[in-house]
Amino acid sequence: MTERLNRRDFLHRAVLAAVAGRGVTPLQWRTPVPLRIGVSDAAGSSPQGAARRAGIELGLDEARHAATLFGGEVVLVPVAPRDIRRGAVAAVIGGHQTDDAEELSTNTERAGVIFMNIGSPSDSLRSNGCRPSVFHVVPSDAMCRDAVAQANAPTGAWAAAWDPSLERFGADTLNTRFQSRFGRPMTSDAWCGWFAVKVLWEASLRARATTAAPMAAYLRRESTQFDGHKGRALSFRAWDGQLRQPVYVLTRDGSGTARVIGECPAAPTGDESSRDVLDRIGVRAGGVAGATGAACKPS
Amino acid sequence: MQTVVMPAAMRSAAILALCASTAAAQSVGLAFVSNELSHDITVINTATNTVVATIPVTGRARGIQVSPDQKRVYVALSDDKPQTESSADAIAVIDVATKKIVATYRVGSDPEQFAVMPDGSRIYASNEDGGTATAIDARTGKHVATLVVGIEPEGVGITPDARWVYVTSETSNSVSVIDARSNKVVSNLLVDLRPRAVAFTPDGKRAFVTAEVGGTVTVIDTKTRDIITTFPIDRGEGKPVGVAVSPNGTRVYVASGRTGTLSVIDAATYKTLAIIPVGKRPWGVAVTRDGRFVYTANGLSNDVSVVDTGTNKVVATIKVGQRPWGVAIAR
Repeated sequence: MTERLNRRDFLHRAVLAAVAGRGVTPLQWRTPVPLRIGVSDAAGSSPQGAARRAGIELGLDEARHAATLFGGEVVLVPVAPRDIRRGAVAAVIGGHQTDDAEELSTNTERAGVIFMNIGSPSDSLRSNGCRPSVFHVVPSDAMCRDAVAQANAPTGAWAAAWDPSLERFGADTLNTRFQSRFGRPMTSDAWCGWFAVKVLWEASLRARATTAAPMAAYLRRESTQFDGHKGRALSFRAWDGQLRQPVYVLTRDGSGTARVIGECPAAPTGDESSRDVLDRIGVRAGGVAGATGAACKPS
Repeated sequence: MQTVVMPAAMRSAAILALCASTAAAQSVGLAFVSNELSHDITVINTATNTVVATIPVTGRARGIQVSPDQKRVYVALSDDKPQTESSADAIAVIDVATKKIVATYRVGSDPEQFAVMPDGSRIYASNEDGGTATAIDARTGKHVATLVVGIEPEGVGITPDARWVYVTSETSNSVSVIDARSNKVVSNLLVDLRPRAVAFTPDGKRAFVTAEVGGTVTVIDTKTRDIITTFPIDRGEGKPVGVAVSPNGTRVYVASGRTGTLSVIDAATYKTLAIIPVGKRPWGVAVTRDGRFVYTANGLSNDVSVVDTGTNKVVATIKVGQRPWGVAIAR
């Protein structure tokens, strides 16, 4: 899980940079091939699409800040879901509607590109055969249904990946950073956009790659986990590419304002494993054993 | 003048005598606890484990450190609105003898943690919302340098030889190493998820970095900047935040927030020797000068646990202010 830039690499790079006449600036450990991330242009002008786009921008800001420490470069490229070309990008972020998500899921696989679904909660998208380079940041319908049921929530309650009122585990810092950058609260849609970029950047950094195959392999690895400011280590399920994450159960109070009334699954206690606990929502009985395909298991 | 060479046995006796006098000196020690919510500092007499003073401050009190000469306590304060630098964002200087605030230094926006140079000359603070670390003169508060580090910088530590400053950054999962002579970032290391704090062995050879979401501690060789290993806290289910090394360098104490425990680690083998239940959400941790007791600041039970390092048992629980964050011990 741990990597570093050692002094020898640094000096080597410094010498190269000095020879190139560009001075000693970034500490780089890899070839200067940018990480190219496609962003689906299917968002339209919906508020959800705008929130996702803002989240993606915040993620880009952070990746660029981190690139000043570790080297590398991140570039966002607008792409059309029907026209995904091999090698043009390492990954595509999208899935604003289910049909767009299904089209991207098929076309990214054909092009050998990672697909980060940040909008479609469709269960069929997740059970529709194994696609090792498809990842779902947005919680599935099944996860949200299970969370509301397990939280014994009142009728009309729903579940979401994020809420602007969250404070613990650094959520306040992230919410404040988003609010001050865009002048509006960080919604679930915005969180999903932000997290997709964060995950792709970290996969690139830790796998030392800017191409899809090694990044997808890293994302699917059993030991790989991420911090989404939810206080728990998040990871992708090997069998369906779904992000394991706690979700927040919400309801409207008397004034019509949405309020978080619970988090599901609850934090592990005793000898429980936090990863097993996160599989208590959105996994059908036998879902792990009956995974959609052995090909999706980490190699 | 005559040079006297002591036989080994006599030397041992002399060292023992020195230890005894250190223990006696420790008995008048004071633990300073920063309370984030009640905006005050609780002062505890470590001999009696009773509260002897409460010092009001002007903001959320978080990082807290004692000056090397033991005469001052520094505490990081910030307002409840990050992203904007306000007059509440500061380091307050408390005189240990009078327990009064004698100065307030500006250190950039939203200071959270900081470290004091072993010679007392400078303070390096992390600016959580700014992605920077700020160095100031510890005697005058004058700005010395601002350095770009990772995203959401948090933990700060300085090697005992005063050569390197380590800053952990929570969102970029990084440790930035600053050369304290040139005030330049010379290296960035990628560590486990959400690195919160850093502590060094007394010989300065090893750094221990806690990763709250990773549930681990990363050990760094400070000479080569190689990562030696990353070991789990509470089977990887812990939420390690505060970290302190015993004065003799043999033990690492890790406060594991959500699991409400203090882990005792062998500093040479990295094996967990004991997991001690303390109060709720312990973050700050400090060891007494004689190494006999560890104090944890328990944020959600509003108290401090005192652990006897000989028996690894909690020997006292002391009520403090609201949401205690950090603890520092002056002898």
